[in-house]
Amino acid sequence: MIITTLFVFILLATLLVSGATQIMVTLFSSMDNLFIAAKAPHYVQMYAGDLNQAEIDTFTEENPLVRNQQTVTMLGINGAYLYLGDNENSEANSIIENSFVKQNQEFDFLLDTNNHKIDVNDGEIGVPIYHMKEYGLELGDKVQIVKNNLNMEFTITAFVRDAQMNPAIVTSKRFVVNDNDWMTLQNHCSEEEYLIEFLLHDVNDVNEFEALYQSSSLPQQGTAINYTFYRVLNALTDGVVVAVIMLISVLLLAIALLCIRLTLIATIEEDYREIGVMKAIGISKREIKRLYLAKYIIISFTASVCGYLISLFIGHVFTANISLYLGSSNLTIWSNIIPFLGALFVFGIILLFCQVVLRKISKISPIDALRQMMINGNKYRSRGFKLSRCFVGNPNIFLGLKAVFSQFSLYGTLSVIFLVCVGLMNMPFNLLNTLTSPEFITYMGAGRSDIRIDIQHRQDMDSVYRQINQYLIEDQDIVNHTGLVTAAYRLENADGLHETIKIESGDFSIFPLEYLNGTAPDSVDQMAISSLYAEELDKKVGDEVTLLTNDDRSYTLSISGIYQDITNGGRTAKAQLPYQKEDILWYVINIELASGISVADKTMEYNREFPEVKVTEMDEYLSQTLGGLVDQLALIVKLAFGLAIIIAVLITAMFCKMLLAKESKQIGIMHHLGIPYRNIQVQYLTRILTVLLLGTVLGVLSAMTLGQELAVALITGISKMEFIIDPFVSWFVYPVSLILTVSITIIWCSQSIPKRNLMPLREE
Amino acid sequence: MKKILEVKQLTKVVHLDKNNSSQILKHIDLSIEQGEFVTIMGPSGSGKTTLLYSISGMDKPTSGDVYFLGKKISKMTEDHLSAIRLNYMGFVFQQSQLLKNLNILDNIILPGFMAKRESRQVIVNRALALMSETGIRQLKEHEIDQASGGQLQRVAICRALINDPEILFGDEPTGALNSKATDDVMNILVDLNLNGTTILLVTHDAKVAARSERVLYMADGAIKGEKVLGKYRQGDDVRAREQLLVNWLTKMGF
Repeated sequence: MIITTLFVFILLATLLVSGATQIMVTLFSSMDNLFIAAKAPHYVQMYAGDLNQAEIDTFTEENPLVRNQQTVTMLGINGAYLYLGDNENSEANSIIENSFVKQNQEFDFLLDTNNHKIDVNDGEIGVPIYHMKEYGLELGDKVQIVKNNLNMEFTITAFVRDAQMNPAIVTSKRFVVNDNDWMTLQNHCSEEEYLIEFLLHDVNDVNEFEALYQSSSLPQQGTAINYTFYRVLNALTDGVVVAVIMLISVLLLAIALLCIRLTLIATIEEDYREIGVMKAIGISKREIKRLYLAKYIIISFTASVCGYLISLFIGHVFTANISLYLGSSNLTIWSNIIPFLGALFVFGIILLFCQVVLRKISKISPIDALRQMMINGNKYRSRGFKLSRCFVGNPNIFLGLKAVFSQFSLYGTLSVIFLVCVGLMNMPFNLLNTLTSPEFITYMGAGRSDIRIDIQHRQDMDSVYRQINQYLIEDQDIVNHTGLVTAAYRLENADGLHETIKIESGDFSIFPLEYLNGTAPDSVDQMAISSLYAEELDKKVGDEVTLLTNDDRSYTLSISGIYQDITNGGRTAKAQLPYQKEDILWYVINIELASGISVADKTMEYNREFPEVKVTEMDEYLSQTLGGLVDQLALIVKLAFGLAIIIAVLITAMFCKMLLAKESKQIGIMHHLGIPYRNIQVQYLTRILTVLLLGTVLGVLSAMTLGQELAVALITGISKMEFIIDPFVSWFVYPVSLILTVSITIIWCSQSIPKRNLMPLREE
Repeated sequence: MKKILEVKQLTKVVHLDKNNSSQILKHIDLSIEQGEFVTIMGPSGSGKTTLLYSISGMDKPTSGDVYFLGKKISKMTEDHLSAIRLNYMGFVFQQSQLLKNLNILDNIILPGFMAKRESRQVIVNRALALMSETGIRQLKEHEIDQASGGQLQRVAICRALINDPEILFGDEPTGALNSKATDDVMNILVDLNLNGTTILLVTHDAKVAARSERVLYMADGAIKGEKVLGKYRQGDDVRAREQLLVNWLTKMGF
């Protein structure tokens, strides 16, 4: 039982470490292949507005760093007009921005799932892999665009691997259509966005180029992304998977180590006399240690080898996602060696740990050990708890408690394992609970409201905004509403170069934010920035920044506050600045409804009235923005719960069996004295449940504190977060589930007490 | 005198493997009166200890019946038997068999606390009185590794007596002691018997058995004979009784 449990934990830990390293190797190799095949651009400026290509060409010609330049025109199709596969609903509620493009001629190729350049005929379409996975689309399925007098149907002939927009966290996606179809679409769609793409001679010059571009007069209102950032984005999804797998394997390894500690301490205690005898007859402590070590070398070596070999066979499970999004990798000798080194690492850690635990052998004195032969056993101290003066009514409970406190090194280890189990259950749950709570909006750089209207960049954006604003003023169902305008400015950074900064302006007092430091900007010379921005710019409350408008007017603003925001890559700012109409990027209107007004009905009404803008219920906005993450986390919560219960049951069973075997003589004595087995069972229940309670309390507290810190470290854009705890689940549902399963395990294990040979207690 | 223990046709068969079994006890009949001091002797493997454990309810006989204070205990449930052992029987083994994570006083009072018949204070006071009677009062706060073998055996006797049992069973209680400690322990047992406690001992030491009232000789799983020595009182010539016993045992083939 003990050996099997240990074997399983080491095997799983090795399997996961090998798997995670395999993912890393595959990830980088696949990404390299994709980036080469796609000839990914080194610098891209997204831009919506009037474009002067001649100006770009001049810049390109004058810039020796640039090898090639192309401008890609993307036709933005509103989700409301787009129907994918058999899905009867349009993409109106999706946060994905879908664009239609032609295949590029020079570089930034859109590839199929074999990494070949996509070539589509009339009526055919290449659909992003993201949509394929999301909707289970297959080749031959249809894509429809229905808008007023336009009705186009495409047949899917390829799925698009897009080096730029592959990752799920990138909300823009590119569909590839034939030139003729693209022209037809262009005639019906006014929303055009450009990707001004540059390919450099040397990718290492990208930072220098970026600085040059940003200080030029070329378009800068829009997101700019460089090659390094693409790689990070592409690696992020699978990188998180690697991090999670690594975390679980570290956990399993920790449990395996605790099991080893548990069994080694118990074995040393049991063999206390024998160790004393061996020392007394002159066997060196090194030799004695080797005797004990041999068993663990064999177990951990076999388990590590098995874990590694299994990882080779099921490696494709780990790397399936990478193969889909990034394509196949080149198998090199390192593809096997690196995972093997991971397995070796696990084995090495276990050996090292055994050596540390076995140091206890050095502390055993042969005289002490031999002295114990007189009384059949090793030394236990009864100090502290005396039955004759005990406050606990039930002697069985007393005996249980006493065992825990007189051998705390043994039970403490078990307590740590339970702590880990409880932490494992609570941490993802607390994070999920926090993410799904309405208060989480404050971490997204927005105050709490009921409905949010997004007016994206378009020619008539300003008039649409005014029209909606007027409608809202007249709407009796509304308590409050405010419009926030985001415009582009240039910020002078520490190096004296200018970089684009998007600043949201408006009245922030209506839907107030929670600020980490300081307050909202309340005058034209103040600005609040997101915590990630503050960190990047090395600014704190009270510091000053200089901003330039596009017509070169300069403003010096002081930082009034720092807030948390995970949207727009965590880099946002708020102020009350004047803005030029042409600098406006988008509008957001937040609305608070009067009590009793249905948010869903109101959202439908606005959607009907203003089909050209995006109207979202705030709860929906949250779940859409965090959608994937919340779904994944919900799955992790379930898996973590199951894993924690399995670990707790296995460890309890192992520990119980070990204790019963070790203490069969003591049980025999009690049985002979007339103490019923039921009472003896109560003693064991008391011991383990005491340890479980201790572990539970510490586990819940750790999840609330350390877990919170871990979550902050994992989520970009948040530097401080307070978990929203569900006390019923954390302090009742989880502990009770553990107590029940652990109790059943103890009762099941202790059923074997009467079957053990407790007869006779006679010494031969 | 009232019978405290009666054994009828007691048999114990142990299965060694699928095809082989060994009959350890063969149709044993035995009866012990209240207040008696009986010793079972015999060579190793004769079935003495198995008989002791079978009649004390610690081991299940294969067939036959055991009556304790008129109640058939051989068919009782494990819980019932535990309750009888706890409340009406006391045990002393070859080794003291104390619980190692309890100190000396706690070891003695544990069965008393488990039985819950009296208040804790009464049990502690009785334990202290028993310790005084057996000469180990000074050890009450000691750990069990801080006492000698003879002292620990006295602790075991105190523990066996804490619930004021009807009968005290002893399985080679002096087997691991030197002659001085053996004398001390036996003097305690004799005094207990004189005060009314029934005692049934298993021993292979004639010097120990010489202090008992009646000696049963066992061989090959059966009681082959019985020697009545009469009540022993402190000051009686133990050597003469021992000689008498040895002569009888020799005749029996011991």
